[in-house]
Amino acid sequence: MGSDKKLTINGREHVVPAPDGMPLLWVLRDLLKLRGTKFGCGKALCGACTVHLDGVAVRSCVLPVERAVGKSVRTIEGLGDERLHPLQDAWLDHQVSQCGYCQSGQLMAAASLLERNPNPTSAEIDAEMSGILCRCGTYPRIRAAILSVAEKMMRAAGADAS
Amino acid sequence: MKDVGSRVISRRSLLAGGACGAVALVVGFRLTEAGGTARRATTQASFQPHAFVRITTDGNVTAIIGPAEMGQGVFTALAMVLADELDANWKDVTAEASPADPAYGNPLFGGLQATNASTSIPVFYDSMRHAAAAAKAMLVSAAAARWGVAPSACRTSEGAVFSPDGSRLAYGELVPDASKLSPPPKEALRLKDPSEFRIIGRSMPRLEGRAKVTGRPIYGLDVDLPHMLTATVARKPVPGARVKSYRRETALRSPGVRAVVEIPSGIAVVADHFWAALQGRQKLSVEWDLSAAGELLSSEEVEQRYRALAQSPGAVAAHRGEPALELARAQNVFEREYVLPYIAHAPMEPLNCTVHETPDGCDVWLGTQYQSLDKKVAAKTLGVSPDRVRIHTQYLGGSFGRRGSPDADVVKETAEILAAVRALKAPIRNVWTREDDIRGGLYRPMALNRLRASVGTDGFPTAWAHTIVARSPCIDSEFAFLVADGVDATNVAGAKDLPYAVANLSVDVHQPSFGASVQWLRAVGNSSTCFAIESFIDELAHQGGHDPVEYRRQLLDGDSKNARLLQVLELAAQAANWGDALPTGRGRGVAVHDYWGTKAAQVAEVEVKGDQVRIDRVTCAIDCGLVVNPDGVKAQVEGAIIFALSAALYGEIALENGAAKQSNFDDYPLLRFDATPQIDVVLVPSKEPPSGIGEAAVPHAAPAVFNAIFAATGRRVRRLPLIRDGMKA
Repeated sequence: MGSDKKLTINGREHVVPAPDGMPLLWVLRDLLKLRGTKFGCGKALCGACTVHLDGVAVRSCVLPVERAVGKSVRTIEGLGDERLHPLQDAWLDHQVSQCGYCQSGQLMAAASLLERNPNPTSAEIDAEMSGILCRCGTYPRIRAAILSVAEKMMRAAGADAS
Repeated sequence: MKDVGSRVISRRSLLAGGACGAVALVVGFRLTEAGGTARRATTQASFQPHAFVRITTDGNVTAIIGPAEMGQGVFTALAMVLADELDANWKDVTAEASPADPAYGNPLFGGLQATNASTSIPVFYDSMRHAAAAAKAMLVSAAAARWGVAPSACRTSEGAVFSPDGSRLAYGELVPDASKLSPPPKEALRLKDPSEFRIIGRSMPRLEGRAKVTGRPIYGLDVDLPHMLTATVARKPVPGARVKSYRRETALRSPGVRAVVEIPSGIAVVADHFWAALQGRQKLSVEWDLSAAGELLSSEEVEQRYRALAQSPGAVAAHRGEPALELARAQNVFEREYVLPYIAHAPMEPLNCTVHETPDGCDVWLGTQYQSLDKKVAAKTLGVSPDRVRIHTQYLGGSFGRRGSPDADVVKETAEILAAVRALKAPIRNVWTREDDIRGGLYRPMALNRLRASVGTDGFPTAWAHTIVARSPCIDSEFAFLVADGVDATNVAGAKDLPYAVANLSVDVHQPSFGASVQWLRAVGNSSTCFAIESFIDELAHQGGHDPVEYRRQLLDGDSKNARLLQVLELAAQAANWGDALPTGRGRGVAVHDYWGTKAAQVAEVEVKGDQVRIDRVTCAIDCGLVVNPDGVKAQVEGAIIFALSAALYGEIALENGAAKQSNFDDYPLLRFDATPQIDVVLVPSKEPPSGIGEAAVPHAAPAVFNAIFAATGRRVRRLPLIRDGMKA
């Protein structure tokens, strides 16, 4: 039941008494007080709870905590370090957020996409980002922000190569 | 405008009186030291000449905002208005949520502190400027006294006062002296000419932008208090249901569960954290007795009754000429019906509220559109005096009307849970699941619009009769002041003030009380009336062989009060390349509408292949008067269109035995990233007073898209959502 789980979150180890089957989302929010990861639907339908598990975007609201043991979890609190992640900067440049509630999930999904694929096609952006709902309707700005970061990354890569 | 009181928000008031502003501005100094006295005012660290502004000795300027920030950008926009008039340095400016206090009452809503109907900028634009001008005058007087010069010889810029010889005193340095002065009367204030604005009209980033991309805990659901317990409620499936049986002991044995209590809305499970509460709730196995629940209707039954009601005239909202006579004698009469289903607000942050009792009252944390009522309801439920209830408004993870319930349902429920488990001596956080939210039983009213028009040989209408059937969110509620002569203004808005030139007109409304409980949803009744009117006018245009834009133009032209509406119609048509040929299977549709003073026109361009609809582009031209934050306005228009497309394409709450069939985003889908069209926004520069923007671009999208589908295919859809018609989107 309340067996201790050893979790690595944003590079830090935590030992947390969480029962098997408790979704990672609630372990993060209610037990570890990392409240940047959001609850939206509880059924992996809206993506507000998206975090990275070994670099891959997953829906933490349906991920039993035991499946995160021994893996690296990254949340919105660990997306940037002292400086903002380039996507966070782009989000501010494009003034993406409205109510902001879904944006942790949007950012984590976008970061996972660009880490795997720095130069995504429009269809690849669609495929990744269509899993995350935004009721305020910030999608056009999310697309613009992702494209601006991808473009900068490609330009930087091009400059390195030359 | 109503004087909403001259109370002071700080306990230690030094001055009182509503000297400035149309809304009586609270005047008083907020002391940072407990037990400060009038004499100690000179040592205070902050200066709050008004309810709306606080300046500290370190130069920080805080705009104190009554309306809730739910994504619409009101914190930033009102802070911009304040900063501009104050001549503050924008980098020193922040915004914070006000307490619940009559000083922040909305005069358009009976002085209640309510964030409704896109009224925040129209209502507070002037008052914010007056507050800033008064504060600035006091700072200037303080500086002038130090220098021994006339205040009129000084100037202000970037958070400082400058003397005629160029000496500078920063606002922060002047706080102790300014605090001793009285605010000048409103008549003595000189507001800037718009040509002097340096912040208003520039695109400014939202003040809380960084918090929202770094996951800072700023929402109601993020509230965390020592010893806090979390509750979740097994809620009655329909109003009037009673508990027949449930497995209390089984739920109590579930790990982490501390209490199981019956409350008026259902059975609450209180636990150490949300997951434990939810696990406990699942073990309740509640059986409900529906025998006292009254009629349990299906949506189809509600619609049939609505249709029957629409055959007779309802309460009169508008009447001119002889519409009945003209319709009876005309050769060509068209009659159509347009139906909109119930829909749920479904803000991304599920509903929640946290209440904590203290020896001197109680604290309530939540995202809310309606602080006045929250305070009243919490006080009544917990048996404390309202002045001992402190409402802490959090950022709202969306709302769209849901967090402005006319009975403060979530606050009431949370306070009831707390009252039932007082022995635990713990703050209670009440969390709704998504299913609770979708089934939560407060929906945009289902609406049936029956439209009839007689047309002359030229194809233009000679008489127009519009009968609306929709339950009223206002009758018998705190918002009853919006009902006059039996007509809820929010149910007939956009219809009773039909802008088109028709000599004989009748608009009437039936507001039956059966069916689902209802509540305003972003753009209120205009979503329904605009869909009906802009679809019907499109049908009439095509019927007479007229171009839909040209037809509307002719019906608007000739009335000077339609000038701004005509302009947005022209601009939208132009920007969307209206009239350019399109390949087969593609079409454009238009809609034009005035939403409570904000005029907009939209052109949608769609592609239809078989039953598959793809919306490629929506172009919106919009005139909301003076624009405070242009990029913020554009963002609202983009968001409003996407919000409206969810309703147009997919949105439906269907009743079965009185309860919603839908429960989560699988059966209540929203528009997703890949289906989002290109959106182009044309802002009309204007010197007219600012009108609202949060909702103003919602009503047009559905009729523009449906008109475009007709243009592409000849198929006319008169019912929302589109997928109900067998189409895919």
